[in-house]
Amino acid sequence: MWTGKLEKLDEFRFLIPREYKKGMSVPGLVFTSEKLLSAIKEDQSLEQVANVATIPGILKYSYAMPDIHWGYGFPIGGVAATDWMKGVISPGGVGYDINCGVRLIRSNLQVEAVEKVRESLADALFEAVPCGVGEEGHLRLSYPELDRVLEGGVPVVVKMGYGWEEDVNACEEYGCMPGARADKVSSRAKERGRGQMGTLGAGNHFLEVQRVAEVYDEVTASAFGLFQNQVTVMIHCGSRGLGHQVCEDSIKVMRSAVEKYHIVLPDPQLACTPIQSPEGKDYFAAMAAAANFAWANRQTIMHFVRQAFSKIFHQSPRDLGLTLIYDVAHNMAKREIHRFNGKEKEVCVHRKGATRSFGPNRKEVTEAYRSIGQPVLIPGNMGTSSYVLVGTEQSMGETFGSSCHGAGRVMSRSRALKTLRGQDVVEILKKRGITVRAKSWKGVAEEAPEVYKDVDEVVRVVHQAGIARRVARMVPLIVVKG
Amino acid sequence: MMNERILQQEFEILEHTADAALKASGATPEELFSRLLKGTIYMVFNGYPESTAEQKKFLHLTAPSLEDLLIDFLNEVLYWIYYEKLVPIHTEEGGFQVREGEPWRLEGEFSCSRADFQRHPLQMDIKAATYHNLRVTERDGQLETTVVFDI
Repeated sequence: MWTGKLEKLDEFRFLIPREYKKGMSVPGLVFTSEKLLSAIKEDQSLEQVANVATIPGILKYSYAMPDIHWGYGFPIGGVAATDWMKGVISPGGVGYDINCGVRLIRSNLQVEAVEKVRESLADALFEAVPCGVGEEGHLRLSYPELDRVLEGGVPVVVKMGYGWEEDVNACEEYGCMPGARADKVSSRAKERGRGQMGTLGAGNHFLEVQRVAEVYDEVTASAFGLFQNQVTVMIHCGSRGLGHQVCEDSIKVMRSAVEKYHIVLPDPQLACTPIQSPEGKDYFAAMAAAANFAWANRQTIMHFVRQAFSKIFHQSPRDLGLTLIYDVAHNMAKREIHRFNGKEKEVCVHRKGATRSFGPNRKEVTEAYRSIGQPVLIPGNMGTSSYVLVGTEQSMGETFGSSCHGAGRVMSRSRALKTLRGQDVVEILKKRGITVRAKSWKGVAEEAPEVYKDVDEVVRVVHQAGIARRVARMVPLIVVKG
Repeated sequence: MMNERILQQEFEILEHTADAALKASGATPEELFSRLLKGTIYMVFNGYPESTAEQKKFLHLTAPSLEDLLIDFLNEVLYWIYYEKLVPIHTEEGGFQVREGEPWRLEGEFSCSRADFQRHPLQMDIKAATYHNLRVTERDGQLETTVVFDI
């Protein structure tokens, strides 16, 4: 139970004052509601918000989104922007699953079409997309191919035949982080990743066929190509073993860098280095490469999804309108320009379990959405809603263009296994019209709807606080889990 | 939330909201490392897979501190399990040595069995052992630590 000092600023904003902990150079700003706060206080995630406020060069606030939960070092659901020239970069502020993220695909189909083929579509998707712990994929890239993916991201796999040219424009950073260098990724990381392209993995990663259950903003929904009762597909996964290894390798380097640059930290997992140091530049280049791998991974999975739909509906993916709406990163450090103290400033925005939420008229947002803001994709869990939101002007001014990333866990895996059986979870979901295909009952129990926060409340908070605006809500029809 | 614990003989799996944590103690660094290794294997397979020694792995690690050495060791073993499909089975003291110094060193030979993921499916996808709040402390002649794993 966290019993630290928290000042209520308004209905959705709470402050951890700078004086709370020695070494905090900025306050903590927590976006939440009274309803979510009691669960947040049950673990030590707010202490982690205070810890992050001690990293050198942090600007304005150490932020916590309403889906915050206890991570390692940085909390999950945390945002920290540092001065690009004078601040630090921290692999712990990105996480092991670099560019874990979400993509959303729309279709021309309405829910009735899926009802007719629900079981066979579930089977086809489960077969098409390899998933599960340690599972390898249909592809094993050669080392030169992998290097091209690491430096080129989505455009490279599209050229290899896994997707359409227009998919590139529907990805954050156009599916390719600038500054990525394959030579900064270790051979072990490459070995871990080369057989995992096009695989979902396990844990909270999933593939869902969904139905648009509610549209809140017709104009923006229409711009994203969304309509009531439409069938959509959501893919949630990341950079697999390659990204984990990049993080592991980097934290080792950072442990020495902390001493070299005389950085004092309250938790060794916050290990960081000046962005402009050789260690910082190397990490950014390797992280960017892992991010490109993650985008390429989701792109390849989407290609398999299109093939599975095509097989079941006997129509081409283009005829089915299986178009990528957007792909967002949840775990990343990005070089961005934001207004700070009335001037434009180059910053490094760490988002660990948080989503970029850029409002209108930002050049980073693809032309099709530039006038309205970027889609912000918020997955729920296998029994609840997922959301599409849109970035806002307010998020640009208040949170360095950031918002929440999902529901956030409230129950540990071990407690879930003690109280829930995977078979029961699948049966209950079936009665609610949700078909589940999973590699393990244990995995299903660990990811049951009960273990997550109320995503509706999480989204209500960011919507009411104005750091993203609700556009549409989807509910699951078919869930594929590792 | 670490209030409810699953007690094992030589290690404890502690509750953690998003991740998993393992607590162990030992009279020597070797015993501490061995117990944490057993706990790690237990978490990966949700038990111990049946095994016979089929292959030996030699390991030589250096690190600036005991904590760094421990994390390197656990992450190395996780790599063996997930990617080389080898599970260390002889982890008792004597198989390897940990030596204090600048740097700290771990050296030794590990008998491993070939992992059969069909018979003993992987039950947990551990991304890595982390440094989160990591400290090896000594109390009453016992070294003690808690390692948080990213799941």
